[in-house]
Amino acid sequence: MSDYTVHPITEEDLKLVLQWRNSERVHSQMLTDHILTWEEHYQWFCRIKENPVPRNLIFSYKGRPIGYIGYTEYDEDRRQCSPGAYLGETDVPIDAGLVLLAFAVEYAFSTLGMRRLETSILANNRRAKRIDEYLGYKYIPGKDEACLKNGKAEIAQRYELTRDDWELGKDQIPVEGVNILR
Amino acid sequence: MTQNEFLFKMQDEVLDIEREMTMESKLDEIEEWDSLAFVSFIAMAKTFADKKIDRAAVQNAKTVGDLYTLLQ
Repeated sequence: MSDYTVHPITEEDLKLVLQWRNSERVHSQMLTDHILTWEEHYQWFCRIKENPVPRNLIFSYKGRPIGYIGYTEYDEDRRQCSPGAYLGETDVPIDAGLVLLAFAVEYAFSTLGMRRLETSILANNRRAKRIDEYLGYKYIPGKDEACLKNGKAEIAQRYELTRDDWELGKDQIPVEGVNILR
Repeated sequence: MTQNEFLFKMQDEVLDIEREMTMESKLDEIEEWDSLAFVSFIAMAKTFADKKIDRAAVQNAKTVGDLYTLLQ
């Protein structure tokens, strides 16, 4: 049995997630400069807690919360969304990032029933691009977007991953399962 | 991939650091060798060596040179 689990985010997790989300390490990788307030965070939670299938998850190792997975741009008709995941804690097993990222994709396709994922990556973040390409994402030409990061204009590039491509390539990714706690 | 090419890619793409390292550098003494770097290394192995690296083998690596050996 895997030591990694996920559970739908609860009110008890909120303070920790806000702390992670606003930390320099996590925040610096996001496309926005905005620092979330508690009120914004709590209002967001009130909206998402009614989702029939959980799409905001806490990732834990041996019962200790260490990261977050969420799905935005959720389009049920087109079965498409944008996954996001990060490790909030740093003293984690060295394979935690790999397990987290691969699970975020697998959950989208197998549990949420998505057909296609899209994500945006800052054009100068070569490491993130390399990792997403490894997971099977492909660059979508013509969908670059401008964004403001640290007061500077940056380009965000759009990548996509289809379920078919994921199914074809996932055997090459050395991950173990993650237990889903309801 | 030569050792020099490998060291460059480790510094530039996997660890994203500017200081130099050697094949003897110990991973547990490199602060940037973290969970994200671990994924980056496995991704690099797939891209440049077309290899599926065993996760446990990477976890067991002690030095930068041990990682290089995994790509051979």
